[in-house]
Amino acid sequence: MRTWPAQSVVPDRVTACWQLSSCPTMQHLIDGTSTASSVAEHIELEAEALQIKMATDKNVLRKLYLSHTLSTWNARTFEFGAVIFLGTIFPGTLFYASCYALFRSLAAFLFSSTVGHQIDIRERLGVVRQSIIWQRVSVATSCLVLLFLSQPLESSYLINGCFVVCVLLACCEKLAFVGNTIAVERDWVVVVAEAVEVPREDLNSVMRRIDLVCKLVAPLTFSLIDAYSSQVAMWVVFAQNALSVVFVSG
Amino acid sequence: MRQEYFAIAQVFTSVPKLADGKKPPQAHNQHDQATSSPSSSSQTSVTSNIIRTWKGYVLNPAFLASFSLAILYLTVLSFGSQMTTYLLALGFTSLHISAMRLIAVLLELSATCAAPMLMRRIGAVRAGLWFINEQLITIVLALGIFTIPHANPQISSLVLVVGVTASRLGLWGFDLCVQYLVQQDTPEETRGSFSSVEASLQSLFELLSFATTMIFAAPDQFKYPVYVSVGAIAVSAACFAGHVRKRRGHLLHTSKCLERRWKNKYTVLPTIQEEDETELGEVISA
Repeated sequence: MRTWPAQSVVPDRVTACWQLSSCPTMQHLIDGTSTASSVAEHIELEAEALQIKMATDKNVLRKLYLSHTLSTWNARTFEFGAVIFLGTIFPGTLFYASCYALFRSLAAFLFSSTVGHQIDIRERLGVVRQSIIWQRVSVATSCLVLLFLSQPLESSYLINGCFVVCVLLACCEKLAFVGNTIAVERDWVVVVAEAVEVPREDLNSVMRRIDLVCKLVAPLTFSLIDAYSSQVAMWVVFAQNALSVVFVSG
Repeated sequence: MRQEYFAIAQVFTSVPKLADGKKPPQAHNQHDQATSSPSSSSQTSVTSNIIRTWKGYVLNPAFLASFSLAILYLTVLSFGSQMTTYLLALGFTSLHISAMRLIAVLLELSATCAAPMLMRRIGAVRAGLWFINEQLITIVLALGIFTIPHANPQISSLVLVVGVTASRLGLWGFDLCVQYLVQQDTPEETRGSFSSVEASLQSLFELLSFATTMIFAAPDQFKYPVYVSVGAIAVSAACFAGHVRKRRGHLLHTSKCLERRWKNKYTVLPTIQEEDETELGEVISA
C-alpha cells in the first residue's frame, strides 16, 4: 500500500510530459541532447523524493504520538500519585483528597475558556511549549510541597497553607494539561493529518488509544514504586518533571 | 521526558502549515479591542471575552454534538472512584474490580479500532448515532435488571457492571465520532475556544456527578446517582439526534453556496467509494 503511489505516479508523469512536450527532460530527449537513461534518472529522483516525503511523514506521526504519550503519562501519573500521597499524609480522612479533586475540577470549569482563548490568539508552538512548562513546573513544585508535608509538622497553619499551595498548583497543572490536550487533539491533529495525508479518524483513534493505555498503566506503574516507598515514588515524579523543565526552558 | 517538547517542536518544523493560518483572528481581535473598547479595564475585557467564547460555542454548528459528549461526564457508571467504592462496599474485592476494569479497557481499545472503520463505511454522523444508541441500550437493559428487587444485591450489581463494561465500547466510539465532527465543523480560528468550553462543561458535569454521590452517599442509595447517569446518557442521545436533524434540516434550507459547501463536506466521507472497494474485493476473492 505504501509503495503504490510512487509507482503509479511515474507513468502519469511520463504521459503528461509527452503530451505537453514542455518538460525540460523530455524536450532534451526529443532534441537528442538527453538520453533515455537520464529520463529514467529523473523519474527515479521523483520517486525517491516521494519516498523521502513518506518517510518524514511517518517520522512526524511518530513524534506526535511520542509527545502525546509523554504528556498524558505525566498527567495521569501525577493525578493518581497526588491523591495516593495525600492519603498517606492525612490517613483516615477523605476530606483532603476530595477537596483536592473538587478544586481541580472547579478550576478547569472556570478557567478553561481563558486557556482556550490563548490557544486561538497565540502561535501554535508557543502555546504548546508554555503548556508543557507550566505542567512540569507545577508538578515538580507540588511534589516538593507534598514531600515537605509528609514530614511531621506541628503548626496547623503551616500544614493548611502547604495544602492550599498544593491545590493551587494542581489547578495550574490541570489547566495546562487541558490546554495541551485541546491544542494537540483538536487543532494540531487536523493540520498534521492534512499535511501527512493520513485519514483524520485514524490519527484521532491512535491518540485516544494512547490516552486509554496511559490511564490504565500509569497508575499501575506508580503504585508499583509506591509499594516499595511512597517517598521514593514522589521523588521519581519530581525528578522526571524537574529535568524536563531544565531541558525545555534551557 | 525532555523529548516531549523536542518531539512536538520537530512536528512543528516538519509541517510548515502549522506555522501559518493563525494570524487573521489575532489581527482581527486586536482591531476589535482597539475600536470597540479603548478605555475599558482589563477586567471587563476578560469577562466579555468569556461571554463571547460561550456565545460562540452555543452558536457553532457542532454545539449539540459537543454538548452531547460533555454531558456524558455526568456519570457514576464508569470504573472511576464512585463505582469502585460502591462495589467494594458490596463485598467485591479489588482483584474482581481490577479484572472488570481490564475487560472494560480492552473493550475501549477495540472501540478505537472499530470507530474509524465504521466512520469510513457509514460516515461520522451515522456512526455516532450507532455508538450512542449502543451505549444507551446496554445501560438501559442493565438498569432494567438492576432495579428488579433481588435477594442478592451482588448479582444485580454484577448485571450493572456487565452493562457498564459493554457501554464503554459505545462511549469511546461516540467520543471519536464527535471529535471528528467537531474538528470538521469548527473554524480554525476558534478551535481552541470552542473545545475549551467543551472541556469546561465536562468539568462541570464531573463536579455534578461528585455532587450526586455526596448527596446519596450510602451504598443502598447508589441507585439514585445511577438514575441520574442514565438520564444524562438519554439527554446526550437526544442532543445528538437533534444535532443530526438540525444538520440535515440545514441541508435543505440553506442557500446554494452554503449547500455546496455542505455537500463537499459530506462527500469527504468516502462512503460509496469504500463500499465499491469492498464489493470489488469480494468479487476478486470470490
